Amino acid sequence: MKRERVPRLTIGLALAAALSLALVSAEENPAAFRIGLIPEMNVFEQVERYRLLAEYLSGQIGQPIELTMLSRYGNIVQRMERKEVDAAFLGSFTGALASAQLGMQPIARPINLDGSSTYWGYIFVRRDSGIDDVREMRGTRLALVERATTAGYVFPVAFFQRHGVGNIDDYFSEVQFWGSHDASIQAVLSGKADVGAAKNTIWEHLIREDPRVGSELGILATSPKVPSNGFFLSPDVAPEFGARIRSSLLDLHQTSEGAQVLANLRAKGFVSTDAESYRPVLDLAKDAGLDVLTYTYVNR
Amino acid sequence: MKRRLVLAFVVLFALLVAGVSTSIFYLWQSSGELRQVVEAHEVEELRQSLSLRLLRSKQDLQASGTVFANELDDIIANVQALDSSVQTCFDCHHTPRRTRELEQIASLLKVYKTQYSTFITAFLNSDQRLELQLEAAATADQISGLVSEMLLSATPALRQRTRRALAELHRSRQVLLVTLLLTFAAAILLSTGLVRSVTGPVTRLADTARRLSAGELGLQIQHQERHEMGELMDAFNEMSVTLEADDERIKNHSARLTRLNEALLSLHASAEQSRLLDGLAQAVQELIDAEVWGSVVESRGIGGVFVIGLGFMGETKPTYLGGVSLRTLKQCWNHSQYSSGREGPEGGAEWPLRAWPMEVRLRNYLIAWIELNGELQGALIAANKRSGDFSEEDGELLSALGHGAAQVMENLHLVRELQAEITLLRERGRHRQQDASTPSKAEAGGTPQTVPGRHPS
Repeated sequence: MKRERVPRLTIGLALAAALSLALVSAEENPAAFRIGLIPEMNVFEQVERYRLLAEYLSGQIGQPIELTMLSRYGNIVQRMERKEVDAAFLGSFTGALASAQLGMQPIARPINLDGSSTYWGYIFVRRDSGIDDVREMRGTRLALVERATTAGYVFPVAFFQRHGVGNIDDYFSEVQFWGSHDASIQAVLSGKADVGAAKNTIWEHLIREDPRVGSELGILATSPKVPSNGFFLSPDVAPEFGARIRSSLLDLHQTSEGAQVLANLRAKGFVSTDAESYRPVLDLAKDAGLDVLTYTYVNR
Repeated sequence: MKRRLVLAFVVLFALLVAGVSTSIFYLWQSSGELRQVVEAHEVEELRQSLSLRLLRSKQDLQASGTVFANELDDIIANVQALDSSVQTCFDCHHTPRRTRELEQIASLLKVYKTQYSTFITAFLNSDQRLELQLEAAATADQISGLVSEMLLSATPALRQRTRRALAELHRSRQVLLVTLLLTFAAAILLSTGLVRSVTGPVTRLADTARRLSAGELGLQIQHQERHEMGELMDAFNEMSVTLEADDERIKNHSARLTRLNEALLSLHASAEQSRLLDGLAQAVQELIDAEVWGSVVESRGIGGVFVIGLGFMGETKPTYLGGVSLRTLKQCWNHSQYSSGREGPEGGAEWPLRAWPMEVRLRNYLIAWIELNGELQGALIAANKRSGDFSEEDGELLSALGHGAAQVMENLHLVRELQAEITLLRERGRHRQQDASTPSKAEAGGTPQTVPGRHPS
């Protein structure tokens, strides 16, 4: 009897010690607050853009923050369902979807360097392509971004519908989804596509890096302004915690550290935002024949 | 000594500073070289890390879409680390050629990131995806080739540089050891010299002090020291001379006191005035080192006149005899123990008792007054001290002799009175015997006869 007690006691003590260590470790390292990023542009640069902001917010809220890249715009729905993200910087259409379908709350959105807090979409072609209007686009290759982007999908679909193109798959010889705005622009620039769609902020950023974008590509259409990529909180996040994050974002421009964060983010600051700000997106989606409440994002 | 000590400490300090400076210089040099080598090794490590990360990224790229694919966040983290490695490489100092190579790698890496990102995010058909994948892989191969080339060219150079740094370190170690030994030896030599220079004179001083305390008064230390130690030795020599002189003086004084005592005992043995005068003459000659001695005694024949007798030393009888009045003597006496005079600016001393009768010039004199019961009884004279002037001690000795003489005179006086009394008593006894044998005369009415004489006071 006594011989059996010793190993049991040892195992019990070891388990208790392991449990204590795990509890202590959990106390010392609270669970990270995970912020999802959409592949608006080159995923590596996108993560780098938000790195300083994550560090800053981590210091402000006293909790580690992890950035996680969503490989697809629409992946936010699946990741939210799996409780893998607590918040996300979402494009206007993805944000509208997340708000309508998941109950995510927009709390702030960045102010661009030109002072606006909106963006818009472009439809562009190579200047040497000879394409000047929609009619001349028939049978060409169309480069889009993603099925859950405003500038890279909703706007061109709406635009083409207004110009009598009911089904882009039939009208164009090939519809490509490049996954990010810069890839879409690069596709047209490199000749892999003839017509492209992307958002203006990435367009302007690429022009600074590669002047050929401005000189070799020409814009044929511009979308209405929609809210810039906003910061959305999961409905599971406590309101007071959300308020702290919102406050930190809105006050970001007031500190020198915040100024560095904003410079890295290529923004001037943050403004408060709410679901109503996304009305233009919903209108655009309606023009495109999309209902954000029932829209099912499919990777393809 | 103080200066020597300060100088020694300054030299020691300078040696120390020189040693430390040399050590620091060589440490600085070798550590600088080592630091550069360590940095070069870090760079090497960075290059290897770059190479490994690139390899991993290529694996991620190839495994994309398979079950072996990594999470997107891991892929991004690895590529960002790759980027960070290249940026770190830029922070280091490089040759222009190496900088160009790094710039080329950075440029290719940017292209690779764009291609890889597009491959990750794009929804394209399998051919297009394969094309993107191959493009990205080709770029990765290009970067890999450049990094490998850098590694190959840098490794031998680094190895050679490491060998050089280690040789420098070895040399520095030797220099440090030699510097340490030299500084230590110099410090020991300097300290020994300093200790010797301090303890040598002190030891000699202590030895001499011991001999001095053993009785070798007047002992001198021969030295060449200057400053404090020299001054101390000079003071010691001076003290030794002073001690010897004081000892000599005490001995002389003691001898004179002994002679005075003997002279006084001899005087007390005098039964007559003439013997007293002879004794005084001899005592003055023995006690006072003068050319002329003398005495003044009351003349027996003429009242109120005193006889001055002066003679040269070595003679027992005075050469000159003369008289002087009590009044003149009293003017000089003035109830003092002794009177003295010395040669004035005009040359020669002024003799107070009439004119100086001797054949030698009077240079100085000493007159000790003999006084008894407040009355002047005479004086003792010493004149022309053989060396210098008469001292206070001479005055006190002569006064003591005079005081002794006064007591002897009084004793002689008492003896004389006693003898007279005895003679009177004997006379009376004889008369009484005669009267007893012839009673008729007394009974016949004769008057008693008185014998003149003084009663003892």
